[in-house]
Amino acid sequence: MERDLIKRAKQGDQDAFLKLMDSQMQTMYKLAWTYLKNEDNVADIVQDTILTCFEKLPTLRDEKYFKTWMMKIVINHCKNVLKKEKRIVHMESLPEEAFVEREYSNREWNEMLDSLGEKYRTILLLYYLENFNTREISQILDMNESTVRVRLKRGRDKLVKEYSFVSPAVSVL
Amino acid sequence: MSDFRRIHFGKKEKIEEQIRAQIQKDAKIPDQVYKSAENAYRMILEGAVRQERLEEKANAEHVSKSLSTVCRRTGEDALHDNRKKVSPLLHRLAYGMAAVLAVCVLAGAAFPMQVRALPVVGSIFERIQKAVGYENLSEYAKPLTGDGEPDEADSDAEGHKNTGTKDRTEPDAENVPGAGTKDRTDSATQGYTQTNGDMTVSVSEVYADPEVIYLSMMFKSRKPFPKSFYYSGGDEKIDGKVAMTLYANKKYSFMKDVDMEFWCGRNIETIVEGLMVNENTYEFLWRIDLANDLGQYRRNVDKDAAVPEEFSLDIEIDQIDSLRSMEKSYFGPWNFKIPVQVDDSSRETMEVHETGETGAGLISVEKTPFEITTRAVKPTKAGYKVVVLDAKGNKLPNVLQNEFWSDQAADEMREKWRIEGHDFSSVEVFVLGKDFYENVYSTGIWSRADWEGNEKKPKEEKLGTLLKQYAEYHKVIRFGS
Repeated sequence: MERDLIKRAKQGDQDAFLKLMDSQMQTMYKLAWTYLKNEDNVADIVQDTILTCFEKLPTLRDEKYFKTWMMKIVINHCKNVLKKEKRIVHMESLPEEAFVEREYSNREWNEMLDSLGEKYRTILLLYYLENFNTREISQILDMNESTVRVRLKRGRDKLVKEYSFVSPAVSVL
Repeated sequence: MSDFRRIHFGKKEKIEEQIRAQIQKDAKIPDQVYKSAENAYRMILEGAVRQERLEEKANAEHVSKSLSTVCRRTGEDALHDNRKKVSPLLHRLAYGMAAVLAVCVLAGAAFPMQVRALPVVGSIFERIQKAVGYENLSEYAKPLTGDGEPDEADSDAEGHKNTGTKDRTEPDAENVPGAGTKDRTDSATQGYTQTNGDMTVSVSEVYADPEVIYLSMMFKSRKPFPKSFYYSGGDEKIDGKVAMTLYANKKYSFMKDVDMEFWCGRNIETIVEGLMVNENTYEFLWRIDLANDLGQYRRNVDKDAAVPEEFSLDIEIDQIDSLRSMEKSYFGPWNFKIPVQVDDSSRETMEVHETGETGAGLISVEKTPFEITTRAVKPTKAGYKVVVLDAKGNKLPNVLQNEFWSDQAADEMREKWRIEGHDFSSVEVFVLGKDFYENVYSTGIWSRADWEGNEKKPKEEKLGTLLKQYAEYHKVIRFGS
């Protein structure tokens, strides 16, 4: 179904493109949120990603790479925003917390990831949300696969440590 | 504390399932995000954004149908909502104008200041190569001098000159959408030394084989670098190798940059290694994995692409950070156009094409004066590792590789190893399976103490002896020269 939408969208079928992007909304939102934690910025990223995907879709050679390709576009846009934010922070000496909207950090899906450092969050999101394997994640993030594996393991270990409770009668691991 | 805090990871096998279930719970997407999406859809449907190689024009029926879909989902108001954000199109226009303005400033004025024909004194490679593990690089590398035009002395036997800033027209550049408007101008890329703010960046020497480009470079800061950049905890200055991080973009003249931007990404974080020469000066090696970039390009854009004998490499460094400290970032850009001549004469390839009983094996081993590349075969996806020992039984270190290997089959492991300081008259390649991974590699016994000094250890303690117990395949390779 998705492959068919991609194919049609590549051929210029706007209706198919809109349906395709609608189907990716959760993914785009969660990924952008993991990076930016700011609703305004996430909204901008979603818009920019849709536009970039539309502009560039005909250049995508193989439909099976659509998801990887789209994720990479989201990440590139997020990095650009972060880069600009960083400049603002430097210029105005604002605390980093100013960019975090705490009221949105309590969402259930995100609570667990939020407890992790930045370098683990995206990897766990890609692995558990989209079921990408470590090689695909290494491609999306331009990272050595062994680094992805190590961070996945450490992130998972941190979650277990953070979110499990040990009763005297039960061994956790 | 939410309900999730009370999740009990009682059994190990349940952990994955529980994490996955939690992360896959639907996010409540704010209306603001939907409105942004609607705006993007509207721009598409109104034709404000066009596909780069649109093969079919969308018909009116699609437009009206799509519009009605959008309206049904979020209500009519969404379409009429005036978004606070400046549209991406305006952003793009603004960026374009900013770029033009920047070029004008660059061409005629002082910021970023172009310092032309300012040679870096002596060879940076000579000074840093030992510390970064590439001791012979200065013998192979060519100095970059002048203002981006080739030094007369650097012309080859046929009288060919490096392209410098002259010819920016690629064979099929006219067919690449946006190619004309995206190119940086020559004036912005001349010279091998460029100053922006307090920071002067120089490219001093270049060497390239078909897989790797090595650049020697220098950062010279008007104000001293923060001590946290090159002091370990406390007041101890780091004597040896210091790492920094660049956020940089690359463009190869033989690739269409219109696609590379998305496949290789912009502002890739790259680690470089070098020496802090004094409190204002850092000299370093930037190892660019050309084979990786070509692999990305082949896979996604042009499967027949190949590295030509000569090409130019545009680099744009946007930001410089320390790997140790977040005390200060330096912002560019610093742009360079580097003529690259590919030297394939020093690469020696040993074809092996063997597999052991389990299917693990070796395709080939390649050697350059600086690195060894192994191409191993693994029978299954996970849990395999390659280790290479030198003639004395000591482990070769991996290269500092910022990228992953993409130009390879799924069952192939292609890895690169540094050989400086090692006896590489022969190497022994081990392809190790899951048993090694679980019993040695991931347990913490795998440490530097085991890797080195093996020539003095009794046989039962040698690393090679341990590896043979776990190897699914191993082979000694003797190089011809």
